[in-house]
Amino acid sequence: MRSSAVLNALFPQVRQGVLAATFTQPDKWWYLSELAGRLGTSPSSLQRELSSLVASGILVHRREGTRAYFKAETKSRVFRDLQQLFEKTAGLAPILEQMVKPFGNKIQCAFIYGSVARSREHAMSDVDMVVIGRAGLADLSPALRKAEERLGREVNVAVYSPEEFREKVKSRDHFLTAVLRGRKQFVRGGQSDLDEIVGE
Amino acid sequence: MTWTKLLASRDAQRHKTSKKELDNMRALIVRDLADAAIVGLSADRRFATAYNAALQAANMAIACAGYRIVSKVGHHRVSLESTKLVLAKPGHKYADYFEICRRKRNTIDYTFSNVATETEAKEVLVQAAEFYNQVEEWITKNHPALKK
Repeated sequence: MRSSAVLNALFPQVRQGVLAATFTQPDKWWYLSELAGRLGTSPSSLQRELSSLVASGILVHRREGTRAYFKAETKSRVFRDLQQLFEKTAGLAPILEQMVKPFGNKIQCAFIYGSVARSREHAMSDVDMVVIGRAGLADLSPALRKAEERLGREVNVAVYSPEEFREKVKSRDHFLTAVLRGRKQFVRGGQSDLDEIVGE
Repeated sequence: MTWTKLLASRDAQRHKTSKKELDNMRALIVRDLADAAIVGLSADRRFATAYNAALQAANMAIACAGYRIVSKVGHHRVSLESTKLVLAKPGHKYADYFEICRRKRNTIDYTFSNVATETEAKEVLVQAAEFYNQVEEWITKNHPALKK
């Protein structure tokens, strides 16, 4: 789960994690230990937060045998407001993952860089993203506009063919050198795919 | 967005175009498409020049529909968005694409250098030429007196 300066200022860590997981995937029922695993904590440390969120009508819970499941209460009158907040902050990566997913192998690697990847953005920060592959900006633009609407901010994409990316990295292009040295958040592929493109 | 709203907000004016006006715009588009293909220019300059050709193609379509976008802050965005009204569904994908190009072009012209990649500069040239052809086809079909 990505951390966000906005969320850090608003919510304590555990509550933030629970809300981010449940509100960015509001149809999913989370098994208690699955949620704890996602947040890197123990089930017992979530109990108090979960009870409080269920009691306030923000989450709903059901039991199946000995197992407890939780999900966002989509009928709550604050559901849409909370969902928008988490989509715009913690939900950024899942939305961009969805954006690039339909392109399959046409996109070899895509990542967020800059203030958002460093979790140093403010509420109005643009999202900066590099896309490497055979999908052009024209292919991406309908999905990109939809993602921007959901996120409530602009996503600035730099599109490279694998050849151009490799060539620029090898020639120590100033921009790409700085981007590669900084923190990246992958939404397609990972560091090994990036290394492969560069030829390392 | 509707023409009624654009007229009310003074983003657009009614305008009667002429073959001569359109031919001037055509010459400008042909020049920009040729310049955007000059290999010796930076990717940024080629990108911005091809974008300008696309913007003029959008303005041609708007002029044929009987309007002109008023030159004020945000008029490029309004021109591109208005092509959806003129060209209907086929205009949508170009409007979305060139809106993203518009932002990149603003950064290129006013803020940073080395913004457009080679991949993007080549693509925008192809897209601008395709869009221009689509506008000419639309003019031929809907306003034959104004065709090339």
